[in-house]
Amino acid sequence: MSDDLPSTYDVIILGTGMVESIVAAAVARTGKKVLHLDPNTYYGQLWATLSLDSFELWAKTGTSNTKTLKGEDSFKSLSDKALKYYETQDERDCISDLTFNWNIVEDIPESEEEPKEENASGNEYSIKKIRDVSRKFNIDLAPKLLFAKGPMVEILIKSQVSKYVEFLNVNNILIYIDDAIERVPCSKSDVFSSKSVNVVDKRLLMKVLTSIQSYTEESPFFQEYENKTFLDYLKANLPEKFANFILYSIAAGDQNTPCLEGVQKAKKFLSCLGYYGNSPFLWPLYGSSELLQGFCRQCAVFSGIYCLNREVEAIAVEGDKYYGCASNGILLQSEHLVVSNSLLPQQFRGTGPSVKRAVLITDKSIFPEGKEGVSLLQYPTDDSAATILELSGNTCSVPKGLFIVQIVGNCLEEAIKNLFSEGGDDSKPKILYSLRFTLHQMECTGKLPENIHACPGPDFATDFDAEIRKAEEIFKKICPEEEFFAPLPPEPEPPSDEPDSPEEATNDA
Amino acid sequence: MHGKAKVNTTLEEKEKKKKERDLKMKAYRLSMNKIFHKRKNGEYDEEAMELISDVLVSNPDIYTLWNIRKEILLTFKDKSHDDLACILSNEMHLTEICLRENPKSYAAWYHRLWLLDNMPYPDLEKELFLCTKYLKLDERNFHCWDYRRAVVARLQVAPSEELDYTTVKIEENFSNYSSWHYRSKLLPSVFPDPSGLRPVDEPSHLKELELVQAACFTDPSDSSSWFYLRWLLGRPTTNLGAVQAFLTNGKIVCVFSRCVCLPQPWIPYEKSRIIWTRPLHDEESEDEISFTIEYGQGLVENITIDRGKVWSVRPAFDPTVSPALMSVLCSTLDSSNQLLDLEPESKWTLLTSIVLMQAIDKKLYKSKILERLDLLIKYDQCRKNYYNDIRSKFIMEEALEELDMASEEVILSRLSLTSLHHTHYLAFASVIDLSNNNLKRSLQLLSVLINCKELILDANALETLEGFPALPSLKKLSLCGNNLASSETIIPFLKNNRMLQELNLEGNKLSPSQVESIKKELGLCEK
Repeated sequence: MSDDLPSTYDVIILGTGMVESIVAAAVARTGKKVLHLDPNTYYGQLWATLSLDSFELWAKTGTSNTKTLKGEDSFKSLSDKALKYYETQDERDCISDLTFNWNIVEDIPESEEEPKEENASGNEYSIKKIRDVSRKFNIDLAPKLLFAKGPMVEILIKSQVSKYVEFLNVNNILIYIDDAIERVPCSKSDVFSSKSVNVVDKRLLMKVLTSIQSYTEESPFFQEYENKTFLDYLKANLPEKFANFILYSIAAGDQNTPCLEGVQKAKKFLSCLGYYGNSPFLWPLYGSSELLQGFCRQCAVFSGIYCLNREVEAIAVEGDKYYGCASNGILLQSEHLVVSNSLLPQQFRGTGPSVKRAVLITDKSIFPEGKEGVSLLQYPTDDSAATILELSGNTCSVPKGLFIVQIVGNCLEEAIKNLFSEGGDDSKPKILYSLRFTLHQMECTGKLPENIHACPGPDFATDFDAEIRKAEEIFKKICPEEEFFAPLPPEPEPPSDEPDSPEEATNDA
Repeated sequence: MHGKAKVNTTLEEKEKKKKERDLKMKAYRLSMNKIFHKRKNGEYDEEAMELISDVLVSNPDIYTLWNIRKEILLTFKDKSHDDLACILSNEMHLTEICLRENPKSYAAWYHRLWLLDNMPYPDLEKELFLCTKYLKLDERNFHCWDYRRAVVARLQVAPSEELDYTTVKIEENFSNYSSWHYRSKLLPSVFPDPSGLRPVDEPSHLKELELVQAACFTDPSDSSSWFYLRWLLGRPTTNLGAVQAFLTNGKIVCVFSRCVCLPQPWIPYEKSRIIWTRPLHDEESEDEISFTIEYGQGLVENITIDRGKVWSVRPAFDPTVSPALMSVLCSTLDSSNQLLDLEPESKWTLLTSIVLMQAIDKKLYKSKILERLDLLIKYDQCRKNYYNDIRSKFIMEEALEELDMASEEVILSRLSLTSLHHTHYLAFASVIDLSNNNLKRSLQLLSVLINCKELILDANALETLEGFPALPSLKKLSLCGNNLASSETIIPFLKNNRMLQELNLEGNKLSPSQVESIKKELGLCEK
């Protein structure tokens, strides 16, 4: 099988993470010959979206790094050239402290006539019942939202990858404050119709929202807060509750966020309202990995070759230049190598910041009075914060009646304790299944040959700004003359056998 | 292609566009000629229909063509039911295409409505559904709101359902006159006020005020919600009733609070139906007259006039307000004041607070009202005349309420009036002093001064007497210190004041000889 692959390429891409996949599509569009490999059987690595079975399997394999290094000598036979071989690492090193457990019975003995029903109510769920619909789950390892006017949306449109993906609005922008969940009024119509905001506060809130929206570098509004925090500015202009709304939910900041940074982040949020409905965010149906698979698909349309479940054991370097990849007993050669940080050889890989994550399956929404769909809840505490994303049945990520909850942030245990129940308390959503782990970002620490391009794994930001920036940067190094996702020339009309209709024919004459 | 500079496209494009336009024009002229020719010959056929629709699709506003279409359609009445249904449904489709070309085409919208009334079985449910869909795409197209109302009337949709719909639309975007307006039409029929004092019953009134206040605070610069608030707070019409009655020149004069219709022998004075007169009956003595007036809906008034005196009712321009409404007004004023602390220059808030203060207690708030009117004039210079007129009305109402109605002499000088209001309360007065104001216009309103013998308009800003009425009793008119500058601005308007004996024009921009000739022409020679 290995021998079926051609041996030379313009670009070999190792790992199907977000940045790698965007680069794959961008490069392939310029006509370069691309080989895209992934050691896993699925797309996306730590960006993957998995069915429940695959997700459980992923959790079971846990943090065990199964990689055994073979030693450099084992590759010497691949080429006559004087090459130095660096063995790749396992992405599993990015995960630690992984625990998971089911909080419901293994199986409920089937009653006589009761047929299987998906929408069984709360306490009737069993592990078996849920596993039976494993394929209705699409669980993200690194869920991210798209700003309606953000760079990801722009690239999706420009590249036309958008036609492979469908989206939902994030309907409920929520905040946990004073021991309760509240809807955050973001737009003019929200402020107007929000019953929890009295008329004077409506004005104050609108005033702050409009001055943030009209902020430019020259605007004098915020100058006196230049060396103060965003919270200082907000508190000076709003009751504390609404100051928190804006700080944590709209600006996604914290108590130390400097004023100008907060204003810019809030402005970005606000300027995304109204493009695709009354929400600044979009969420891809079937999960985040749909995006990177869309880019991979486009790469394939432009003759990129895809090979999953295919490992590259070592990266071969000749002098100070990358030469090729040792894979399955052959040497695949290319001008450039694009590689995920998580797979980098140990000489080049270091561990960066980390964050706690949790994935829950629950039986009820955290905000039942909200609209069905996607909810984003900010959970601020005094010294840190958690971001909670809840998906309901119409996102195609979870069977109807159940919910997937994604939590990021170091205070997630507190959030879980306050928002969910492990059983007993019927007022809160019950946790049926939970998984917790710590996600470490891998960094490229050593000096790589300049034709190797390392790609970061998932960061902890909301949107894909950093990923798009990085992908463009890598693209520019590989194709310095080309525009990033230049519009395609119009497709030639499909040749038609029939002559033009007589009417048109006369017009042309 | 990418990386290639654009060259000469503008010139080429221009040329190309012009050619295209010429071609279009030619085709258009040709079609129009054909259509008119066919109509002349009475050729009301499919071909004519096709010619017309071809033109309409790109020019949906030619209502002549829509009308010719209607003529032709009416000749199709004899066709089989199925044929006709098919034709009419195509016709509906045509209006759809045209509305896509111009969503605000009056003619296309009207044609669609006409079709509904001329179709054997119009699918009104579908039309309502389409309206909802359309208003989702463009919630402020008032044509579609109009059409919706027409469809709703034919379908007899419950007003409460439509009211709910406007609530949804307002919550989506309250900057929407059409939606608020529709609400103001629906509410009174869904929640009529048994007392007749408010536009809607009390609970709904309070709820509406809360809703519209939320909008006002969210965006004080959006006028649509303020207009709606004004409608909600709007002063109910003054109670109808006689306000003055007196004798003059052997006639009974009766003045009403507003226009009224009286049976014979009452005759309306001038054209306004606010003052009515009737000759004394033979048996009536001028010493003491008692009479009864009946005016519409069983209203009856018994009036007694003593010799040489006036029967009168003290003017009241502000209706009594129920305690519940009063508390709403007060809390609205409170929040308006809070809003003004935040937005001191918000004109809608200033204006509304003035309306509220007038309704609550205009005497108490007098200085605040005047102060805020000054602010409005300062912040909104373009409408300063409007604000000045509001001030004049406010001041005049106050002055009239203070006035001794039995007095023959009325002094309304030094009040900075720019306009006149409620002048019918001055009908009995024989000497009226309006000097030292800023009057420029609204002289027509003097026409009710049926008893006025001496009128003083000194030191105003009159540039012309245009609109000055013919006053039956006027003997002395003083116009000193105005800006009158020529005889053309005076003579034509005083000619019909046949009783006039004295005219003072000092201190105008007129030479002594001009003054002389004016007086001469009017037949007023110095005695």
